[in-house]
Amino acid sequence: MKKFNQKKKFQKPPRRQLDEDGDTDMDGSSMAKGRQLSRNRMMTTNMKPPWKRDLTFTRKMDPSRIVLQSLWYRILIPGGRRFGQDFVVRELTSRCKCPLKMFNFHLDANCAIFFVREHRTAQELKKLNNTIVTPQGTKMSVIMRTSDLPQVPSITDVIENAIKQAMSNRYDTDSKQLNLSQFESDESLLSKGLYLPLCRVNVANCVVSVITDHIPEVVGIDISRNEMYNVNCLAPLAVKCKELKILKMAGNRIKHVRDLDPLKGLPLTVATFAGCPFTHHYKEVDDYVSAIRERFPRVTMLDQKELPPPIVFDIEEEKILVPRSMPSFLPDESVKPLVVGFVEQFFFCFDREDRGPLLDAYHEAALFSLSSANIANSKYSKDREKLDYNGQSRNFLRMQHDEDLKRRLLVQGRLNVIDFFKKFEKTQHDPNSFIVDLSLMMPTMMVFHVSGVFREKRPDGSFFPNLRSFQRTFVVVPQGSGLAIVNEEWFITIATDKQSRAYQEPSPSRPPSPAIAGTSTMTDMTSREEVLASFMAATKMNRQFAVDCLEQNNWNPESAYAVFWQLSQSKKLPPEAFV
Amino acid sequence: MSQKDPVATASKAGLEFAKIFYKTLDSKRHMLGNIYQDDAQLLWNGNQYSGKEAIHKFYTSLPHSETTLVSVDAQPITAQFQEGKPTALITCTGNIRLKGLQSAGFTENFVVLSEGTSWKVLRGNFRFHEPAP
Repeated sequence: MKKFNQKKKFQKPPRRQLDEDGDTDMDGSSMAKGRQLSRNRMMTTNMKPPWKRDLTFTRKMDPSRIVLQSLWYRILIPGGRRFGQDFVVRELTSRCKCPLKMFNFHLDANCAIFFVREHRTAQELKKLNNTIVTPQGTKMSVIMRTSDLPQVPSITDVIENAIKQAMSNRYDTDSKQLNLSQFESDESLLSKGLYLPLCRVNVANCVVSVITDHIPEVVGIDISRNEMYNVNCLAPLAVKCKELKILKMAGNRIKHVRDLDPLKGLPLTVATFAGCPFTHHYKEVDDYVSAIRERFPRVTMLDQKELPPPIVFDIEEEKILVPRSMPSFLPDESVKPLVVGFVEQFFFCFDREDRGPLLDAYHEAALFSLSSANIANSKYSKDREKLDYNGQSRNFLRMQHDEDLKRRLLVQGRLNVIDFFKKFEKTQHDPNSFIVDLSLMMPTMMVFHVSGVFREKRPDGSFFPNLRSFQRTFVVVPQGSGLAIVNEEWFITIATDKQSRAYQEPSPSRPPSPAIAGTSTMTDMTSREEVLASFMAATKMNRQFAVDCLEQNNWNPESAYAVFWQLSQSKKLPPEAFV
Repeated sequence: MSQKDPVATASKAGLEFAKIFYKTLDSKRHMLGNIYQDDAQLLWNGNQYSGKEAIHKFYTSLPHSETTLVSVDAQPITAQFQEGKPTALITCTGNIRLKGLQSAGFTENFVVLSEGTSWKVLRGNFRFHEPAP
């Protein structure tokens, strides 16, 4: 956040121009002042660039522009977090002498911050400075400053849901057209006290994710008049929205035609950019048209004017190939139940109060290590929740040359591994999130990977608010009737936003993931026939051999599979077993 | 590389490998195939690419990337296989921005083997941290 300089006594005169990020400068640093002064000069003399003049003209013609043009006021309540949002809102609303509509109320460090639009309201709020007695017995400061576009501090779940709601109101499912024009003045958002201009990158990112996740089939998007100057955040549309043919971006602040490059690859046929500053750079219409067609070769309607048919060669289109994520990779039917059964049992035991029984899953000389770090798009950036594993995280990037530390953090021998697990806080894995990838399969060894989310308990027994995303790699060898882990690497991070949304409430009663479904670690032998049938299906063995194999393993399908797997890998099964 | 101290060998090889691998991925993609054994296999978000050629072809079709590593861990695999060649299991995590997509966190594992003077990948497994597809 911008630090508020409380020593500063003077009140800046209201200004209308925006910084690059849309903030009014509040630090008063000399550089920023210089920039604003020079802009002031631009605005007050006739040196205005032509697009500015045009924009002012359009603004005058269009009463709705006033929304963005008008000045905002930023209200800061030091210590507002302590007083509580309810208290601050209630006290200010009841004492303010004119109707109070707060926008983008949020807590930042210890302060409460919100924005108001009306000059009179702002003045009335200012008068409340040091008049309200807080629950702590102190007087509440109310600091008012002018501001341009309100900050959108972070996209909380509440804001995201409001955005989704607004977008679904603005999406026509029949024509597959999405109207995002002047998004910030959407009534449903304003009524919730949210002012969310699309020129804020975090707002645009959220909107773009909603499009790519929920309506990648969109045919037309009208994104005009949003004061956007940076379209980088729209780039995912070019990858995900293969049907997007109509894009209206009129009245934004795009300065150069090359700023549109991130959108290359969109199959646009209809486009509008009228009113964007870059459109005024061209003396000849033809130059403008060819600059646009260089990026979008199939455009036939530009700024509502029909163009001559394009000359397009299909080979010219840039092909972007990012394969879709696939479910668990378990190609071998004969080994799938063995791996999945193992994974199921392993995590079942891991989540229990006593992790001692896991000893049997490890080889005498097992090696184990845990590493952790934060990644992009995770809740970490919002909550700053630390991944604290008592210095046990074996992340080489944090200990580049300390070979001794690397050695100390490698847990050696299964007794030490179990000891490590006994000290690890209790966990609750969500089997619904599991992906199991089998990457190496040999008679003597297998390597597979399990990823998903889990909930971690604090030492005091309560759960950490954020889910953990993990990835565990197991190297296993056959041992007795089952498998034994010889190597395990466990990586933990805070779940990404998408994972948090998908698995917020992990409940053991949910149906297990497709990876886990279809296997049986049944101990209940009421349905031997079912076990037998699935065992026969998986092994392709005949009834007699299947029954023998199961009998010898106490009808434990997992051990039976292990034996089967070993025998078949070493080619010790007679051909008549499969007749 | 010393066979007597497999932990130190795997640690060194793991860290060096991780740095070189992602540097090559980002800036010398066409060379990346050489890091893989002929019979290597790559699982990329559950998509299977078998053999050096297929892996090379896949990488060259992938949009330009910018990768930032945030974590590397490596262990020696001592179980006997591949004629007792020194082998390491490496787990790397980072953020990758594929051109046209938002930056995304991933974890990638490698089984790498020492082939005399150089190390080659036998298995690679890449997954974004994302909900199960």
